[in-house]
Amino acid sequence: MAHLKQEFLHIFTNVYVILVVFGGLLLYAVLYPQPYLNKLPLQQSVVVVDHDHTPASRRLIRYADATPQVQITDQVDSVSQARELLLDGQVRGMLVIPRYFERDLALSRSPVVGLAGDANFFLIYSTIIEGLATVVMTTGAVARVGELLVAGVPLKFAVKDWSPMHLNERPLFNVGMGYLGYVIPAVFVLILQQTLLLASGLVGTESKTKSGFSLASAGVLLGSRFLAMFIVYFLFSQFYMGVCFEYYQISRNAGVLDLYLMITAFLAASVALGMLLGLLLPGSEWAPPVVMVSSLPMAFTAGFIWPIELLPEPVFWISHWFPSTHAIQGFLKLNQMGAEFSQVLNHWWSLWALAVFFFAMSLFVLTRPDTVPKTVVSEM
Amino acid sequence: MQTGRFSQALKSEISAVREDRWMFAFVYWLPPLLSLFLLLILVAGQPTNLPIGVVDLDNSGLSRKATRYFDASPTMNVTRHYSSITEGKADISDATIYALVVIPSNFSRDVLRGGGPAITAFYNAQYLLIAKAMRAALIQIEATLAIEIDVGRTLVFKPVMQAAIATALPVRTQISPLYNLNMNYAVFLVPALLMALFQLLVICMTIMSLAKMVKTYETSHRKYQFGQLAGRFFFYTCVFSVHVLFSFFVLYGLLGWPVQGSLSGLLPLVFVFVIACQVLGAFIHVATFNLELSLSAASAFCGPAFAFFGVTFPASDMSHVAQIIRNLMPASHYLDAFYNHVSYDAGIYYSLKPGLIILAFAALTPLVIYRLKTRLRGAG
Repeated sequence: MAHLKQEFLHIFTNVYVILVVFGGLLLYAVLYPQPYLNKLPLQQSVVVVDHDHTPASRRLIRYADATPQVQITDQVDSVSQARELLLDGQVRGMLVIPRYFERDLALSRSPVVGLAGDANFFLIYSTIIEGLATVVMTTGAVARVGELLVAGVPLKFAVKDWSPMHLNERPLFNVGMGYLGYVIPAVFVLILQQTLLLASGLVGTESKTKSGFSLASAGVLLGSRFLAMFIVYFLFSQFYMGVCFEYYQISRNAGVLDLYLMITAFLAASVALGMLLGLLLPGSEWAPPVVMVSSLPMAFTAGFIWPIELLPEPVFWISHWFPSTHAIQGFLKLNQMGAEFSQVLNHWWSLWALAVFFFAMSLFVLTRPDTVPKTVVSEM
Repeated sequence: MQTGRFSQALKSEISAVREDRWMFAFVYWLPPLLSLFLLLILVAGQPTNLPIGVVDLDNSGLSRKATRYFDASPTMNVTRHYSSITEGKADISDATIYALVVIPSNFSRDVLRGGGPAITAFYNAQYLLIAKAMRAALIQIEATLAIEIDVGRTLVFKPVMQAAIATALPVRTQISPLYNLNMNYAVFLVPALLMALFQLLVICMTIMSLAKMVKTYETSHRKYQFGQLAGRFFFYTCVFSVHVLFSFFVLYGLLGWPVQGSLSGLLPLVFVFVIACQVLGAFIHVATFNLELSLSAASAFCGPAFAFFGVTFPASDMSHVAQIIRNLMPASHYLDAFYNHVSYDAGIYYSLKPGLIILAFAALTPLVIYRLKTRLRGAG
């Protein structure tokens, strides 16, 4: 009990932990979602090159301007002028209507409308193309229905039969396909883990020696350190997955018990890794660079950005040593995708395996014979 | 002599880094290793062969043909067949499959009768980037399938291929993904990831080195000298510039990624970028002269840098707070210039503005020197 109190004191008397880690946790909750608060990039500016200048082409432009995805901001006479605007960053995409568009449409010669966007920025690109392609398709459908009506097909059938089949595409889980609902539930798990590692790194290097402990005293030390950090972060995860998710309107489908089971396993693995990190670092000043440098690799191998099926074998293997990989997948499946707990058992067991492994490694480091010179922490 | 101090400081920094195992790792071999890891994650370039499932309630020649179309798309592979939607939905929830295509019963009959039946495709929109690729592929498959069926139907009474195609497709579109022709995600994500990494490394290593310098000066009561500071900084400017240039060489030389402009135009920009990061790091450190605090603050600032670059989510759609943070990072300006060069061949003019903005970070130098001077007054 005295040990536990000691460890709590370690955490709460460490200025850096209080200021940077806990302060950072609160700050990140506000700061990190900032880029994505608008959720969807709509009303992207598009330039029109109209070579036709007919009622049909003007109708197409009006339709395009009316879609939520794009906004017609400029109209120029040549593609090269449109390219200039694109390079300047004034517009993000272009719509090119060919000459004789109206005539070809009436003669059923299927005119070709050009759509273009900067494909480097995939989110803008897909938004623009999606909006413009829908408009062009609608124009085509209107023309087709008109043709069918002329041929004597009743309106009721013409509207249905302009295409022989349709595709009903239904996005699941993040229904609006917004960016906030995509990034927050995954990245917040990573932020919890990384600040935890940072806190453990800053606290854990404080013990004067890192080897030569008896197994019993090492067990007591690590056990109480584990418990203290676990309790603190258990509370923080309530804040992140409760208050913050509620505020950002992130769906929470998981049952309470399932969620707590997953949080327990996730924190156990992360706290154990943090302890090991604290014991291995030469000084607490190394905790921030080590932890932060690992953030991007961890985020990109966790499966929510890039399909895990496409990761090369060695990368896939390494990613399984990060608690975040299993935790993010587990939490997303439970909380966002409505999976049963039995479907995330593999992630749950992996987290426990990591917890046991990292804890055992920490014990090993603390109890190994005192052959190496004692590493004394710099008194900065 | 200034030059004497400069080269003396340079030499002592080189040997100091060689002796410190952790510094050595972070300065020499971790940067290329981490870059390689980040590159390997995205090496596939495009989401391909994503597993999907099919529920074929029709079981006709046409429905099997439709299934083959889905399987033939480069984006997806039909890996599972289900007899009911419920079975398939469980597999979407635990991400065994990314999409579930449901072909309704009587699909074939309704196509022939002209009722315009609909195939339903549920897809996992939680993984946004994957979902976008999936959706684009689904729409393409729909169009291909619909046109093929339609042309077949029309040929019966309009036995001219050209006319039949025109009936099926009143308006055609030509979609041009500008500047990134094969929609390779790695081509624009990897440079941004690398710059986030390098920005973090340069700032952290600058703080480490500066803190060490201040500490030794204080214990030996030495006075601040500009030559000493410049010598130390110059070492890191060179090493990290080489790291950045080496990554250029790997991406655009060895891997042969497309470059529209000239890379040589970027050379001065790389140096300016590294120096800007160094000045920023020094500025953060001299604010408090506390190693842990400044490293933690720098890491907290640089950790989420990638999200603020505007590569995945358009900068123009970010909130004002996010745009301010974005502008405070040298790497986001560097990337503006970088993409102008590499993707657009925009000419030197377009990299001048971001170059000047990065250079503006040097304006912090007098402040840094002032703080160092007042701190290190020498003996007495």
